Amino acid sequence: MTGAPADTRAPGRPRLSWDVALRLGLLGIVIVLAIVFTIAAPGFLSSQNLENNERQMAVIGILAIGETFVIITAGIDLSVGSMLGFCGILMALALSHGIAIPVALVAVLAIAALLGFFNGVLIDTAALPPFIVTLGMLGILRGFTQIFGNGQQIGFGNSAFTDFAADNFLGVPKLFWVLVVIALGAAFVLHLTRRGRHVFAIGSNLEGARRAGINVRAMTFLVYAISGLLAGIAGLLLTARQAQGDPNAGTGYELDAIAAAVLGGASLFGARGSILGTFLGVLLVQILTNGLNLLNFDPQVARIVEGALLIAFVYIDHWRKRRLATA
Amino acid sequence: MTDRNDTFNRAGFIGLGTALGALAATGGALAAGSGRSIADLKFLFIVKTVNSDYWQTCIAGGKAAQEQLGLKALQFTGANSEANIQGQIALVEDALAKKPDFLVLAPTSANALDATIDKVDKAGIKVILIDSSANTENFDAFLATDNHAGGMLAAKTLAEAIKKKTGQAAGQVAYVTFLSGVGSLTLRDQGFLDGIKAYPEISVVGHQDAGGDQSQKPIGVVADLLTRFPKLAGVFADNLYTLEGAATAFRENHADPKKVSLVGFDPSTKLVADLKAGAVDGIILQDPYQMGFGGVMYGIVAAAGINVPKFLNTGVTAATPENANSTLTQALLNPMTQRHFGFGTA
Repeated sequence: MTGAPADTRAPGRPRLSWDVALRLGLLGIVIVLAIVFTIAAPGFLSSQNLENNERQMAVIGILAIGETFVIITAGIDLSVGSMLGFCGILMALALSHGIAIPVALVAVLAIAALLGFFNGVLIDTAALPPFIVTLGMLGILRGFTQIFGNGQQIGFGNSAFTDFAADNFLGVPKLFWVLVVIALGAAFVLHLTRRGRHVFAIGSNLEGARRAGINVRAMTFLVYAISGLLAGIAGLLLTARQAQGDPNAGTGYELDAIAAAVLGGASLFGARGSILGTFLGVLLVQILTNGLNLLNFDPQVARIVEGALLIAFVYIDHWRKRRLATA
Repeated sequence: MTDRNDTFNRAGFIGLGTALGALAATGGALAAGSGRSIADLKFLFIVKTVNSDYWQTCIAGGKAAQEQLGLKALQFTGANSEANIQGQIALVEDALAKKPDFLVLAPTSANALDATIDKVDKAGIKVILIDSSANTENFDAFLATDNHAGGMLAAKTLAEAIKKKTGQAAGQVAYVTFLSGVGSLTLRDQGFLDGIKAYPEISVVGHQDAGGDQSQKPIGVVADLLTRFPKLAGVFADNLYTLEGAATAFRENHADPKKVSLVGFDPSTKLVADLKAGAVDGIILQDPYQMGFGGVMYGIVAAAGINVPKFLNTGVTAATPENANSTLTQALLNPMTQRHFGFGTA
């Protein structure tokens, strides 16, 4: 790897501060919602309700972090929901056959990373569009999930595995700790390392990144492998929580993960996005759903508000860009 | 404790018995002079999706009938999900080209499949609907759970569970639907609301919708109900996924099984274990095996040109911790391994 990494932030100063402003806006909305719900909805601030929220956002949060890596390279990974279900069924099958947890865990996650890597191979080496490759993989993995599970839920009598999803550590559900650790690790890699800068460089200008000496191929393999691996982890957590493998688990979750990342500032055109933003996006959706439920709103209202917020955030962003362009 | 709506059952199966008797009298030959027998018949069996225990049980019932009677099954199939209406329409369209004598179909949508069903009927193929209705009249028989009666049975089971725990059938209850706008679920919910009216001390305070998600969202919405109504006495969940989600939410929220009861539709291995442990107070059992088996039987009879009864209620039964080991409950829970005896035995 020779040459300087492409400076992806050349026009970056104003953009960066605007990004920060939007993220602060997101944080502001989260805080305002939290205050409103605390006042209006008894029980919102109870430790049990906070636990429920933390458990509920872990799976989508982990998927969304993987998706953020991919989206920053101007790619997309539609296969994460199916990957989640696939790994969940594999884990349930392994445990039901008496395979030890550590062995099963490592094997399933290795398969997840490998399948993600394979997405990267098809995208980079075979030069296929990420949308098509991962859409194909969405169908393939779901199909295999159904075949392996024989269309049925797979129970396993391993309480050590299911207890992980039910237990707390320092008063916080272990599921949420997994999300926190992954988020911190991902933020470090993405924002503080050279490889992280390469991810942005590829999304900014693929050819430029290549000319600047970045190993685009290896990086593409890496980001899709990360996305696959994280979807695998999410699948294991959901399987532990449900105490069974469900061949339909994760159906449609890829869209929730993409929405959270975009709400958090990731651009489908690449080169923009952050782990903190994605985390806030997931948090916003979760708090909104929970609070509106507690206020006895029609269950459909949360979906409407979430959709409207998504469009509004992207609109503000584009409006700002157009103004910059015409200034 | 066992309840079973078998009025229609008996009427329907007396009809079927008579028809099969007539067939037997001709030595299995379908119609005088046609030279065809049951073994010459071909049929297709299309459920909503093959990806569930429920539909697998239904298919097992259909296969049992087919193997014992020796007719030819062209295909046992279904779409990849219960939401894939276009996928099922394509399967039925493909079926037309194979020219079966009859089609056993569980329509994914009451409206969207109508035109396709009409087409099948027009092609001279007998149509036996199972599980879910269609709005067209162009079918030969319909075998299904009376979902409204199932909802009413759930209300009764929940009220009795509450009474057993607290001494009186009183307090706040809530219900969770898997997906708004699905005909069978709407009927169950309405049946539940109608059934609960018999208990004036019980009030329905909350309602949630899991948005059709089979894993995470049902847990979240039930957890939110428990948070919002700390004094909740009971929850009704209207299908397998919401019942499983509710059981998980109860566990994660440390809901006291002595204070709050849980009743819902459809069993799984895990839920039956929960039932026996007292974490679930009632599972409303349908009879998908009977639908599959009966669907094929009715198809044969209809193909022989006999007018079969158009509606057949395959019944609902409430499994409770008390009757979990009874013969009927066990037969309904394990239709593949236990010889199924079904009708009117309760």
